[in-house]
Amino acid sequence: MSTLPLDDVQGVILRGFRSFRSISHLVFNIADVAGARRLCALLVPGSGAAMTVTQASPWSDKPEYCLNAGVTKRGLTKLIGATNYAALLQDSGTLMSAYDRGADDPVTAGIVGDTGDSAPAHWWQRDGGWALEGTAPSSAPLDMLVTIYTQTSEAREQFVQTLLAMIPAGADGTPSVKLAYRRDCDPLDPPDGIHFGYVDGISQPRVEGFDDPTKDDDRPTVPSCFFVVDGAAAAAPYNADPFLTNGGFGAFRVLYQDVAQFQAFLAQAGDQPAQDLLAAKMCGRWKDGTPIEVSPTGPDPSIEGFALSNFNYLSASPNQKNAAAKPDFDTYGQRCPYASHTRRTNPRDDTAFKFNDDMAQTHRVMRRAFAYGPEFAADPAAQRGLAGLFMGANLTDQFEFVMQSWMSMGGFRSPDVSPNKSGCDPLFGPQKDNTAGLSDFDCLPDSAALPPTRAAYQSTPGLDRFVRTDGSLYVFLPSVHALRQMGEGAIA
Amino acid sequence: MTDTNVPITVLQPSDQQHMLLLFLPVIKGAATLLAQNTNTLLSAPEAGPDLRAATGVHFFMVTAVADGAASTLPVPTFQAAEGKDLFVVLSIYDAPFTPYISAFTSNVFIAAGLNKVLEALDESGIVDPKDPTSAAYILSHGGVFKNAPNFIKLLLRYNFADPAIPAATSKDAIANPQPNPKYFLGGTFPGLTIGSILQNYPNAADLWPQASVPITFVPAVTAASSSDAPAVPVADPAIPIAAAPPAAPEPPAAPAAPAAPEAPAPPPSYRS
Repeated sequence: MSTLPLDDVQGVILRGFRSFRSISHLVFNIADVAGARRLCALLVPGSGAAMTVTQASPWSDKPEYCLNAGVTKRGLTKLIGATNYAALLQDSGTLMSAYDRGADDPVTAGIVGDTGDSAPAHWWQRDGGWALEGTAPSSAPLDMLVTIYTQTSEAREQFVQTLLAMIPAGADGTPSVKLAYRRDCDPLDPPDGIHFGYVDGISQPRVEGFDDPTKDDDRPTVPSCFFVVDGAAAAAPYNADPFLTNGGFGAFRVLYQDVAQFQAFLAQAGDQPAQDLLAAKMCGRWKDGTPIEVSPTGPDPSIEGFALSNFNYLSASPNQKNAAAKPDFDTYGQRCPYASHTRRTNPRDDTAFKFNDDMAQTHRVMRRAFAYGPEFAADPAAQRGLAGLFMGANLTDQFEFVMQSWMSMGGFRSPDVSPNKSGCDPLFGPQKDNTAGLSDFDCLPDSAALPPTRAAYQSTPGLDRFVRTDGSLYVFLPSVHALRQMGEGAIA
Repeated sequence: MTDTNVPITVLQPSDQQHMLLLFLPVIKGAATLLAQNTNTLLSAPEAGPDLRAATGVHFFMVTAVADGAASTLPVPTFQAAEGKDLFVVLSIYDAPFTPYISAFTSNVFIAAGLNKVLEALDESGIVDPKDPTSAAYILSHGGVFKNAPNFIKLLLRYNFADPAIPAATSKDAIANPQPNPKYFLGGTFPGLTIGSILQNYPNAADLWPQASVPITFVPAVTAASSSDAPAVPVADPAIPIAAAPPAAPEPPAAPAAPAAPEAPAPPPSYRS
């Protein structure tokens, strides 16, 4: 039984909507503030409108759709006014500093790694999603994000049209809120797969007060204030104006995935088993989701459910699968390299990672991202990738910290004798304009003696920018009460 | 650095060394208390995971200067503003500090210690107490733990050093001259991080245990040692700044600085 005020929290923050796999991300420009406020009021549950935001409270019956809404700094400023926005910033500076910068700010881009061909100047124009007539693609007019989750592509189109029809007319008789960008996501085979071939979305933070304890599940819970804003919580490293309470913040990302380059990199390993092993070392999981830490020799279908995430790196958790087979633990990253995507984004009990003295609790990110574009084999030249939200109460300490300190930079673990100090996240690859020392993926063969020497590492050269940013927004996901206040143009 | 046999010509941010040099204005008579609090903070790593290697602090120095104290050298050195004490912190550390700031300040124990530092500050005449970056504002709004970005801005106000200037060789400085450099930070071995050093000490945990043990520093016998000045810099017993555990993370260094704006000019009350 949750202790959180779930009726006031948007569902997407705490619930995965995993069975709703036909998704549409709709980004709007607010052309008429009065009309936009009316739309906010309509989206409040109980308004009587055809569609409203989905709350985090449990369902009695599965809904036909789920909907979440967010606003950028520009959008929020329009809706509540500059004076109110400044007051929020004054009261909640820690929480809002990254949001106030925005995703397209040069400082943000530098922190997150959106440079070179991932730079904001290139966003919104390469995947064909731009929809704001008469304007060139840019972040400037993007004010609101609405995501609709449905179970079929037909239902998705129906509800998108329903939402568009809900938009009040502005003073000029045209829609007060204009669609500027649309990105649809559809399930691949398997449905939770991404274009690089991995099953995704396996390890999500367990939220204190929301996720019920499960027998034999050792995974630590994260205080809810790291996802649902609650400045009064003792664990919250921030102050929060009441307007922000029960809301959340997120980075909406459109990430192009270069499957051809990725496959070419893997091909260097040789035959298929060798490629599969290299892919597993890069990710930290076999493509079916089996953690290489738990099953180092290959996928293991018997490992399922929470057992897929129920493991540590330095000392086994009480109910960790196959732990008995590992007399020495993975201190040297021999099974799961420090450089692997999963280990560097969630180092678990590895406190030798810089500033991971709390099982990464203060840095976890809730992910709601799904594949877009056709399967690679069907149309190699098509645009494809991953789009969705990466959420946390504090973008600076969570999303940006992980992107910069653990994913982009090597040297995050000490000691780490690998030749390039674990370089960069191998699934993302180095920035095009910063490849020095970052273009190799190093891992330690199973046969290497421990402790390892630098010469023992096997380096695979040619890491490239496999994931390119094609769009990004920092959004505030208001609580129901804040959405209502936005409809009134107020913050109290 | 994938090839160990060629000179290092590129250093990623994680491998760069930087300096922190804080001049903190302190309530008159409070420098001693601040020094004691600093020592309390320095003992923090013994309570939790050993963070010494991860923090990347090579060396640090803290010194307190009492209001009106004369320079200990025949030239002006660190001097307190009139009516205040001065607390000076110097540190050399690895990597950019921006990503680490929140990690330090979100450590409840360290944040509580940093609050003690703020309680000792005297920012009168420097910043309005209503300013969100003032010590008074931070303390009245939940302290460092809940105000990390503002705390960083406070530190930047008193940081002479520039976190954007990495330790470099002289040839680096000649080859890549910075416009109007604030200072040159020499690095004998740029890129030689604490982590890199420890690669060669698999028994580091035995040599330098987390629960630090007393070390006897045997004085070197030199010509200088026969003079009044000690050959080995030993803490002045009149200033209770105990010798700190080796390589312990030094608290105010933790939240040091992202690419820093220039610190404002010191108030004119400084005496020469």
